[in-house]
Amino acid sequence: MTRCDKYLENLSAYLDGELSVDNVKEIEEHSSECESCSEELSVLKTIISALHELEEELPDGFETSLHRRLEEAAAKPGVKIRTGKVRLFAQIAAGFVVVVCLGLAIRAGLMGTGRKTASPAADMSSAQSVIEDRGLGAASGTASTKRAIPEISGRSDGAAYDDRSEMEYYALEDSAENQEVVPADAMEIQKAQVNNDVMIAFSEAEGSYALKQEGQDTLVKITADDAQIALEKIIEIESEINQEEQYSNAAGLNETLNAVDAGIVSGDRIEVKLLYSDDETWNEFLTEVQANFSEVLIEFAPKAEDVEYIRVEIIKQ
Amino acid sequence: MDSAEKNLIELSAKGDVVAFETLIKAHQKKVYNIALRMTKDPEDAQELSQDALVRAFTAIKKFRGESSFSTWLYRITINVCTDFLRKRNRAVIVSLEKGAAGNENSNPVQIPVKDPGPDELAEKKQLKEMVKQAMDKLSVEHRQVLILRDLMDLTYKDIARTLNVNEGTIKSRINRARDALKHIIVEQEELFKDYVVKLNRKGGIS
Repeated sequence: MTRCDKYLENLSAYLDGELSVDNVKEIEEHSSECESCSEELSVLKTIISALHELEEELPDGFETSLHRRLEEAAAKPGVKIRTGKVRLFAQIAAGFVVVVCLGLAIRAGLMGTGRKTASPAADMSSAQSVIEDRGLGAASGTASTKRAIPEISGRSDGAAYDDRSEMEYYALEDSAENQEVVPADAMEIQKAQVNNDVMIAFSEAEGSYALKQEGQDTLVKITADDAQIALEKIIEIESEINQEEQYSNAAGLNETLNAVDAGIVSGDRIEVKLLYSDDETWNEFLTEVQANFSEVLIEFAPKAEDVEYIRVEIIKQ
Repeated sequence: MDSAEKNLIELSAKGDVVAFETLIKAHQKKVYNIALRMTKDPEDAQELSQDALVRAFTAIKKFRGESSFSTWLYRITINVCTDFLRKRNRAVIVSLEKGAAGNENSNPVQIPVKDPGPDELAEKKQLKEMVKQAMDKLSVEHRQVLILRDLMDLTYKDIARTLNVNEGTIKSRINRARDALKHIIVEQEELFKDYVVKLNRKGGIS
């Protein structure tokens, strides 16, 4: 690398005050000697100062229409109470599922057909019962732990509620004392789980279907007819649930989609990774994926980087 | 985060619209400008910046103060706009497949045909217009970093947090983005070079 190359590479960082003192000194020395580099510097400075001036005023009526929209948002029912209430219902329903799971686990064990897989990294404090179905059990060679996501954890508009409007749902929640309603739905859910031939693991310690494990990436394998459409669905799910915007998963997803569009990445197999700092959103994402795709496999694997990711692999059928 | 801001955030989380409006007073123009440079269209920009602000309002209870409030707000805005552009660009691709002509990147930078006069103000305005049009021609990825760096004045660290990529990537991306911007301008317009030379003789543009 010539001195000019190094100079040009650091030019922007120099102008932005993002270089160390030593590097700044180097750059300044070089630009005093090199005419072409010093010209480059002037050009860049001019462009940047023009960029700074691109800011425009707010259009007329901006604040008025924003105010109206904010008032509408504030008045929208359900916005503030959503999370807590859903959780209550999910926990009640989850209780029913775990009973069935335990029952099936015992039965599977007695019959000698269940192949239990123990997760080496599983938190020992979280008692797990794993049920494997005939169909999926055979394919479990590499999985450390497999779990199916119950369709009930954490979201009011998940698949379990598809046939019920949000208002009805809240009505149900408002009468949470009404124990008759809740168990009936829970029964339906456990039935669905059994019929779908899926594996279920329940973490008692966490009181929920933990789909995140310390030190483990969660791997989501989706098989779809069109991987690109599947990726778009993932983007939609992500933008729907990632309201707190802690990480910009959207940017990475869109980059991948653009790469697929441009043919840089093959549409036969697409890999993306997502990051959520809170378990609630993490689980919400996985729940939604489960609800939106028919062929989904969830596994854990030791984390590949310094933080845990959800790694989504979409394979074209 | 100062205590006044913290207080406003808490009130906003309880659904207090006026508190939220006070909170965003200093930021809403920036939010609008991010959307404007991302979408290149004032109407879309108004719609999307308001989408972003409403979204921030409904999600504010989840704001944990890990970044500054403004960075969080910019991140939401960038995401809302990126999502919008993705959907729109896909629509453009579809229409191209059907044989419709023209996509947004096929037009050369339109430099105003007006002769550069002696009026410095007019020259400056012209330069601004050139840069603006060149900016519109950049890829979304490059536009994002330049908006955050040069319009929003974010540090590399904050940009890295906003876009969820590491700082080293941001550093090289900004460098490449500015280089691309410069090439668009210089290639299209020799005039620009003369202009910079002239400016240097005068001792800078500001």
